[in-house]
Amino acid sequence: MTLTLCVLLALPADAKAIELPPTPEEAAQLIPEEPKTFGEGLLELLDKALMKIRPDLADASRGALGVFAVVVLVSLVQSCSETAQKTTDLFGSMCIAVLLIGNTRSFIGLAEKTILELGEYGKLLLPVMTAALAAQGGFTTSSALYIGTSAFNVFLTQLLTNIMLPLVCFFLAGAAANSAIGEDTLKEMKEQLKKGIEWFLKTITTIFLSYLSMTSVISGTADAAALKAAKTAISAAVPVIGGTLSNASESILVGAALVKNAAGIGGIYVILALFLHPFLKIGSHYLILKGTALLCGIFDAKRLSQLIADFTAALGLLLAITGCMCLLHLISMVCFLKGGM
Amino acid sequence: MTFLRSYGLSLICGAMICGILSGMIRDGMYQKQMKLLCGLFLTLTVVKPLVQLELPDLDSLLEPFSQEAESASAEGAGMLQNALAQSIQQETEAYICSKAELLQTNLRVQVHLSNGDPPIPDGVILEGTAAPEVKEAMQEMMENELNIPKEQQQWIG
Repeated sequence: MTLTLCVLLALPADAKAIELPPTPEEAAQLIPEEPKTFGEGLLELLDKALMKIRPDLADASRGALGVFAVVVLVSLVQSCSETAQKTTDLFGSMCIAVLLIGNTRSFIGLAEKTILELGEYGKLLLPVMTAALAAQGGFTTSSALYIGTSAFNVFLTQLLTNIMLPLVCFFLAGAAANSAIGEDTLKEMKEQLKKGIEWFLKTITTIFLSYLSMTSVISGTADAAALKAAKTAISAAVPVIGGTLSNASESILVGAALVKNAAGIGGIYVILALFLHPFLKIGSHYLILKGTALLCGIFDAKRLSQLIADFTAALGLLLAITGCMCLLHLISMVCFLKGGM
Repeated sequence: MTFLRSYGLSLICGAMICGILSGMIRDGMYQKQMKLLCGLFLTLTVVKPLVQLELPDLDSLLEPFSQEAESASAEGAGMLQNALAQSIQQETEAYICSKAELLQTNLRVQVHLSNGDPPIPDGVILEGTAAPEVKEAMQEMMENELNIPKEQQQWIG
């Protein structure tokens, strides 16, 4: 931050107009304070986020213990009476669904909130980065990056919150119903739902990456040519000191690049701060539940283990959905940082 | 979302109607014909809304983003233009001052820039007293070295 301040003081007055949008309150707690390097800042951010999820770990462990107890109890009853297998399976499925559905619903809400927050922050950050890149001479690149990233941002926010998250709910409903019925009638449906969500996330990320790569290369060349033409024009228009004036314009571009990098790195910190806590929170529950599913596999309660595995898969999908949204913003930031000159 | 909801609803309704009809004529003589009719009806239910679906025009969808991109990009370009103009003006003024100092004359210089892209010096106002030969040397220098014609050189004092 000190470096940023020094750079800002050394630059022309107009460059100071490039300011990051205000950081959301929750994310502000995680933003690193005066890191010396980018890596150090990332470590500090991760450290703060890990400290913040500690209470959630105890919560997740308690939930997992409850699920494990149900599986042990059902296995115990089934070992005593073989005739009660269907009833105990149904009872166990209901208990596990009740135990896990509350947490999972709150995680779906958390994922939705994170996606919306990332989308809103992206809408504020993108014009700043576009102006910063244009101030560095990347007029065409900045416009193309803005159009692509904004369109994907709006499209993905709508699609993830209105279609993908409800599909995760459908997947969970299908998994619970399949476990309760006891016959694999809904198995195919829930498998296809899961595959569909995974396929969509992979495809959208690939399309976005391809668009950004092509845009950066094509418009980057046009911008470089335009800058070179401008420098030549200055050199040619002023006979003796044209070269000196042209070199001065070079130092302005370097200064603008420093401002843009400072803004971009600040933006990356905020994006990560918005994303990291929810991601780690859902991720820790995912890992604990995955471990529980493995432990429960030891007992002869296949239906219940499958149901726990399905809940784990739903958390995995939530991680992928929020991760996809964060990745979109991080990749676009990197493209803005890389673009120009 | 509204389209998806109504599409899903029509599919479910269509499937239910077909299920009821084929259930009613399970052992009848028209069973095969009924199955065929149900199949055709279901195909229509599936395909018709998709055929009628009007895809939004991509240009009109991207129009607001293009406008925002243009305005943000123009803001940045303006910053660059201003910084560049400021730097060219300062460098040129410093150069003229240093040349005047070499001729042992103290001048206050204000350079005007053109509105073009990139901005180049196209006029100058010089303030201070200078001997006629110094004045002439300076005028020559500005015309030859900075491409500022004599008509655009204004002397005050």
